[in-house]
Amino acid sequence: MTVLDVAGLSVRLGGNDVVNDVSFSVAPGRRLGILGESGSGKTVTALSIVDMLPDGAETRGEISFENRQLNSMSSHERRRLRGGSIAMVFQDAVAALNPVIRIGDQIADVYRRHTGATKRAAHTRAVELLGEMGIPVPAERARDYPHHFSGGMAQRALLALALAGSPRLLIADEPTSGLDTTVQAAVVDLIRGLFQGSQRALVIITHDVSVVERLCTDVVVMYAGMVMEAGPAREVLHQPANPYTQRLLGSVELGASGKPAYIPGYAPQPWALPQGCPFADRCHLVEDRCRVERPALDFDDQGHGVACHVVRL
Amino acid sequence: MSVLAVDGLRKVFSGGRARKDVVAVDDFSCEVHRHHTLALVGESGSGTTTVALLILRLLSPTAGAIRLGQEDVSQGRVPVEYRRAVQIVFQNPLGAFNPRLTIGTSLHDAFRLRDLTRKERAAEIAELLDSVGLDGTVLGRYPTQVSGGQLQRIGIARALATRPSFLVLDEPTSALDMSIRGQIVELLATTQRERGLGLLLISHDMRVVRAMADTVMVMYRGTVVEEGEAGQVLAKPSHSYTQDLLDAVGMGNGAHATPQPDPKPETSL
Amino acid sequence: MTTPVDPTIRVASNEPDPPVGLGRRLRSAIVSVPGFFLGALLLVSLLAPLIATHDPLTPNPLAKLLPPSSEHIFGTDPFGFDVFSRTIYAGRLDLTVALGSVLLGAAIGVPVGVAAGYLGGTVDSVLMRLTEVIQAFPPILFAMLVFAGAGNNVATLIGIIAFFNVPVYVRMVRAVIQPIRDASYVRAARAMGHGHMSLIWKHLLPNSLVPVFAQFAVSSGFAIQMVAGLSFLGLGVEFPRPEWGSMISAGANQIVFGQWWPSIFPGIAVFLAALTLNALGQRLRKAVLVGGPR
Repeated sequence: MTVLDVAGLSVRLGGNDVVNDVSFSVAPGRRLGILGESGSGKTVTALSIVDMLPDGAETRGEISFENRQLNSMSSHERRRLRGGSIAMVFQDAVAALNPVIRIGDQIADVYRRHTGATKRAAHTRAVELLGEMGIPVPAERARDYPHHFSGGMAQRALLALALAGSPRLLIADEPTSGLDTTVQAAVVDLIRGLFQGSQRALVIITHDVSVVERLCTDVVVMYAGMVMEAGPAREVLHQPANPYTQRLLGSVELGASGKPAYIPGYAPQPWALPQGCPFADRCHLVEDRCRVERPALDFDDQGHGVACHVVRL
Repeated sequence: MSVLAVDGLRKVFSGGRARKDVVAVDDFSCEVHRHHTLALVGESGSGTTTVALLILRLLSPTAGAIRLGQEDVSQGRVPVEYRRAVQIVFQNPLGAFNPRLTIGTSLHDAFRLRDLTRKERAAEIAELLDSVGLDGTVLGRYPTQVSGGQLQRIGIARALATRPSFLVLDEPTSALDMSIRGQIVELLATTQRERGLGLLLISHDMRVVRAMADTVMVMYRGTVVEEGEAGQVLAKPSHSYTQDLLDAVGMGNGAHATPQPDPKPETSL
Repeated sequence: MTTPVDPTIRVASNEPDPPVGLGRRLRSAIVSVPGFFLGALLLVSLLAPLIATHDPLTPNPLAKLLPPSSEHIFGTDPFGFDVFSRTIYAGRLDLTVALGSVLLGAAIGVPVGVAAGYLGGTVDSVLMRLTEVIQAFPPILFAMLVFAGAGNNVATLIGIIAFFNVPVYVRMVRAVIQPIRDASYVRAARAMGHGHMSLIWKHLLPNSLVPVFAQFAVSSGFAIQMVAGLSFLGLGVEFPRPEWGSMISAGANQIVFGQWWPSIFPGIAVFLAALTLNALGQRLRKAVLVGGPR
């Protein structure tokens, strides 16, 4: 049984193929990281799950939530799902909160809609949730407006808001990226604590390898709209097989001494995707075949999959 | 003209009638030498960006001196020579270029402090692009039509158009993809070597600091809390905030090591 | 701190077209279908004496409220005026006032808005309070006072309507300038030695024109409405000078009796003029809005 199942998802946006044949699934209690750099299609993938793609996007493939296909639901049903069973948090937490409503009231409102609790009970729960998110003196902070909150605090409040409806799946789009580095670690640890040992599933979109390392059980590595590598986070991060993953992980530290490590060249622009492997131009292992044919994702029996003509598991 | 010296810099933002004044930078002094990189480390609100804007004289300091050679340029009209000598590379390259202008127009615009004919400018632009590893095909594009890494290279080329002796680098890599940060670090190092630039690197990422800096100053809430030779500060930080910054990128000395992934994945239903 | 921006969402287009200078882009926006339409409207108004079939100022008391026919192709109104001839002639006044007040309003409002947005602080507060004062004036009452002092003529009419347009442009331009005043590219330009004027001219003004052009159609619609409202009170345009707004109101009472023609034809003229100006405004807006929506 899976919470989320994405099968053969492709998205065309403004005439460009920004997501190509992406498949993955998330089981209850798992925390999946979608790791990618700019233009990798990771955000578009997340937006397709919550049905928030910009107008004019063409989608192919299937997305199922708890074995129910989203494509076959009415937009009303999908909207209900989005507010309840599927919740989402964003990078800019301050902007994601309503600026004119007290934080506590926003959380209580979501909680009441999902449980039908009394106003008083909902408020108590809101304060409780803020406390669980590590906000000091939650009873007082619940009366604050979003602009009183720092970025890190706002992200915690947004998490409380997202979890108020007891979702079975949380989708988090770069939730720590706007924060100071010293605050990022704390928020990552918080999210980890909220999910570890629970049946809630998490899909986190990130460009930051360390977030995946600290937080995720599974990872999907995307590049130029394509899945390059996928599998258990430990496997992928410690024994990366795809040349892109290897060199991406290698460039994180910038090289501890001497020559800085990086991947030469640039990711292809969305309007100029090559016919073959999108990484071919930057790859040190490139062969003729890579330029004409796209590699398919090939899994071993550990669930570790790699899309590469040259490296095989 | 070989040292950019800042002495006792202070900047107070007046909060207006209703609010309290904010001391953004207090008693900040430093020297930037050519061929040398000084890293100014701090997170949002620490005052590092204000220091950058003050040194570029895009803000005027409340007190203190900014000297290039003998001349104090901290108040009044900024001499053209100073403008030429000190340039900046911004954090987010996409914000650093006017979205309504082509890259070519923006680059031409960078030569306004130098009296060149259009032809001379075009020749020098070609040279600059070449030195940052790009070619003329980017000139006709708008900023959104090139990648972030390419645009940051163009940002560096633009800063070099005035033939500066000093560059302020305001988080030059933190808006870029992980896989290309090293490219920019390397390009900056090469550029520094070839032109003998003095660099003031503003960053909160200790990995970038380790890769580039000779000396380090750590700022916290507007004041410098630690300074010293880079190797020393990174290996043996004396201030707890410096330690936190190192821990954040797994460069701490074990006290708060990066948590590893779960020892065994939780069983899925 | 920012994160790598995802260009796939921002750039919803294919391979970029080769760029064209702002001047050329503006020119090609004007030399376009809407530009041609505006030209045609202006030409028809200008050549009204040649096109009109009757004298627009002389009513025929024996031919009141006649339906469209070969003699009166748009029919006649309750006074016996030929609706076709008056609709053609009215363009002279209405288009002059609409274009004149929009251009004058923008010519004053844009620089003031730039000043407010760029300088900020006290200058901004004072200018904003001023625009609020202007917007608080009851337009008709104010117009009556000015007409009493300055006399009843078209120039005064344009001036008054432009006066009420100014705050709209000021606020709009200020709202565009304020957020980009501290943008990195503006800082970069200052570090490269741009003075205030060249900074405004090169970096701030082009951005501020985007909403200004979009506002053109709304403002000209407002202008025609004002002219009609004032002429109803006998201000600005004295009867029987042909003017679309007053023609519509003169015929409005007849529509319920099935006599639609005295109102509908000038109504169509207003509609066409507004549509043309709107389309032209959109063209101009697009010409300025290159390199993405930011």
